[in-house]
Amino acid sequence: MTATARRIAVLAALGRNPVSGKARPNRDDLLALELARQLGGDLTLIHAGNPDEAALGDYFAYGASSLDLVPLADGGDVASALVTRLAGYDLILAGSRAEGGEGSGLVPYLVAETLGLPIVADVIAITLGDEATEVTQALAKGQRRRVRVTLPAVIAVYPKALVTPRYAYARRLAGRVTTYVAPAMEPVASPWHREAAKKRPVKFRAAETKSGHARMLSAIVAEARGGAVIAAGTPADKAQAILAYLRLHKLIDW
Amino acid sequence: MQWVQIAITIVFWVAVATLAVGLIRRIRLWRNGRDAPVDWGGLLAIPRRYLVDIHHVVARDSYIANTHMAVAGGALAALALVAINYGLALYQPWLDWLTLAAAAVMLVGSYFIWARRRNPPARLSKGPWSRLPFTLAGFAAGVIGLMLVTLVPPSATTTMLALPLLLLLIAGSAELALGIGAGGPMKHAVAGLLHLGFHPRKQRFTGRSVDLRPLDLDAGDFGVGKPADFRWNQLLSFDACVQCGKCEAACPAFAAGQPLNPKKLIQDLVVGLASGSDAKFAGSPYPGIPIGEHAGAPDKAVVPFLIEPATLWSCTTCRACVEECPMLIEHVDAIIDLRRNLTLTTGELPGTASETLANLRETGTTGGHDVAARQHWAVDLDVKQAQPGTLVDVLLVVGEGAFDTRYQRTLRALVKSLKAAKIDFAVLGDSEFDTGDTARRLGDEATFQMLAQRNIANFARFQFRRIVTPDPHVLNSLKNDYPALGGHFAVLHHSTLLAQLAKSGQLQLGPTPDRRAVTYHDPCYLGRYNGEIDAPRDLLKAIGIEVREMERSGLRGRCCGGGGGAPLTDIPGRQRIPDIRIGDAKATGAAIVAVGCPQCTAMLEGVVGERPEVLDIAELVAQSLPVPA
Ligand code: SF4
Ligand code: SF4
Repeated sequence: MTATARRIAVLAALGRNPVSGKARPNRDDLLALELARQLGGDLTLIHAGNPDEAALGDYFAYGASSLDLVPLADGGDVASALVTRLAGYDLILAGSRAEGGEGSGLVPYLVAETLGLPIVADVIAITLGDEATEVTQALAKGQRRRVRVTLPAVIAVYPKALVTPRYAYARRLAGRVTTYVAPAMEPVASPWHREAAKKRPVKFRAAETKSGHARMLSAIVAEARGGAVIAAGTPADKAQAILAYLRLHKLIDW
Repeated sequence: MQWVQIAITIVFWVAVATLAVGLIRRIRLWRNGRDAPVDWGGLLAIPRRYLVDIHHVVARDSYIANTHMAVAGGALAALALVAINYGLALYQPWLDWLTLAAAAVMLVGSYFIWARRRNPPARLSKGPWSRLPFTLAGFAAGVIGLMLVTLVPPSATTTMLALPLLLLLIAGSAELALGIGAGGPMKHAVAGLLHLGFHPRKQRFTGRSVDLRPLDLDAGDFGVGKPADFRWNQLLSFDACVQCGKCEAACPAFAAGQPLNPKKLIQDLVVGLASGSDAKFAGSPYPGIPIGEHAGAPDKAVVPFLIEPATLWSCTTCRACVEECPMLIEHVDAIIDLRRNLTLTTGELPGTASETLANLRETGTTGGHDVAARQHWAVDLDVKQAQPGTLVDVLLVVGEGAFDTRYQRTLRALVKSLKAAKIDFAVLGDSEFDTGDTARRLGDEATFQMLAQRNIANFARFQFRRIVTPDPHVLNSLKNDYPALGGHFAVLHHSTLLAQLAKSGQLQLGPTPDRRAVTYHDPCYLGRYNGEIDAPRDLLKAIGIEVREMERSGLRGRCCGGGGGAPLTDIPGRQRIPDIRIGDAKATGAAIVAVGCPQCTAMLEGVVGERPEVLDIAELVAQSLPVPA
């Protein structure tokens, strides 16, 4: 099979702006979309969720020409809904991080598990060859690893993938949504359960009053570090010294 | 000399026919453009627009103004007389004398063109423009000679002279008649006059006109991708360019060595409308982009075949080029039209521009801030928040600067003065969104219209008499861009309001305690865009400051580099624009640059090394408030 004849699916979730909370395409899924666009091939964007969400249209602005939509009520199981439309794809791409609600970033893993496909995470680049498909993974400390993958496979895209999604309004107007009938699904019991928060000890910290210059000095010159080591004295004296310190820094008010 | 007279008649009619054929060919090219209403009445206004509006601009350079008057005036008079006397075959000797006089004036003018071009400033184009003084002089000399030949009794000498004189006349006439059809320098005469009649912004002849045309996005209007996407009268306007380079000399991006030259841009669009390559361009190139590698055609994409995207993204939309252009060409409109297409159809913007646009869509602020934090600067100032149903006199729209700790000092100073003047004012609180100015200048009309509609709906919730803002970009947006979308507001810059209050005595100001020398930097969006150059100066005068004017000030002020999203697209050059502007300020010896805009504040304060202190007018005014007893 040639590289351009591959069938690629991109899983698109709804994200939220972290400041305003406004609905938007999930940032990482946009990276997946952009990676997929650059690969060429036959691309399908799939979303499971509320069909009336206007922000989905922004996926078109970011370059998707169409969107396959599986309607899903709030709280429905996204991964199972997606799987119903994912038969026969060579590559399934998704972002790594979710942006809101109960999103956990586990969808690509759940999809891979259900479909019995391998998953490669933290991917920043993909090369589709006629023979083999190679992906580059981001590792800690800026290291990179090149991995050869047998298709079909699921790929979770790293948040710092080397692509820039581009928003073009004209494309937004041209995009088309195809809505599928939602599959009948057993309602899943939410894996989440609630419990009351426990009170945890809070670590007291003196407010930093030193100038930037002094802080810089204390980081590089041992003598400039300040503070005192109390080795001698009775336990009561030492306790008094600690109390005095806490009062001085207004960490306690008694 | 019967045969000479007949020969002149023939030359005249051949020239007229050539001109007509050329004009028809050129009109065909213009008509490749989109439709625009044809304002035939504009043709009647040509003489006034020529003598008044153009003259305002040209008179700044009195040498060329007088020279042009001599050449063009002489030529037009001579042509009119020849048309009557020879075109209609009257052959009246007294008309010959008048023709001779007119041609003599033209000849003198041609001499002065030649004199200027002996040692031309870099902004002038060479190439065919360098031959112009000679062909024009040839035409004038030919006419003078032939008139004399017809006037004196025929002799062997006159017969001998008549032939070379006729050749001179033919050469000169060719320059005049072929210009429009062949795209020669004299194209400007015909295209320029028609451009005056069909100007795409006829409002500029009756007042200031800086509003951008809203795009009908639902109808699929995404700006200009290829030359034929310009409206036909825009194409015509490009043909009017005389390559004088006044725009080039005024352009801050060109001066900073960024790849933009407004003159070349207009010439590239001419190349695009007429099909061809830029190889024949005989002026300064875009800094860093060699000439001869780009070509265009009416239906070929402008970017990147004809113009590189970096050229478009270098523009600060400062309008200095438009202000200087003697042919009243609208460079900024063309640049915005082209940007719109790039942004709306490809989304490929350099630097952090895309991020800013996403911020605007998602948070309603350019910096991605929480709108609820916009009024945090006023938390301890007891500033009223506008409430639906309660009328306030002044609605203070603070703009994006409110998120910047430096600019918050300006806002706080402004509040101090407003309180001292007992102005009833309120801020919008967490419902103030960006006006969309940056989005619009970056070509993102969709985001601009979304924000504008949201703001207009929001303003409708409140009752106020007028809007006051310390941000000229907000001012311009609300005042000039919103009306087309249904938002009509009385908007004032803070300097205008403070100057009015100081004048009426409602704001008592003492002399400034700061005795350092002050210069004033005109924000482009306040001065050139909105004509407000007096209020800031009046205000400074009221507190006893005598402004040391910079080399370029007022309506001809030099940009700080902060407009049009240019700091976001951040196209590299040889130098930074604000460094040039601080250089201007230093040259005056001033220790303070007074400003009236958050962008200017940020750009000028960003200049490293020793420089004058940058203070907003509001800060200077607040310093001069008398200490309460
Ligand atoms: S608007 Fe200013 S920056 Fe843009 S081309 Fe004109 S002079 Fe240059
Ligand atoms: S655009 Fe205007 S200012 Fe610039 S070269 Fe042409 S005529 Fe002169």
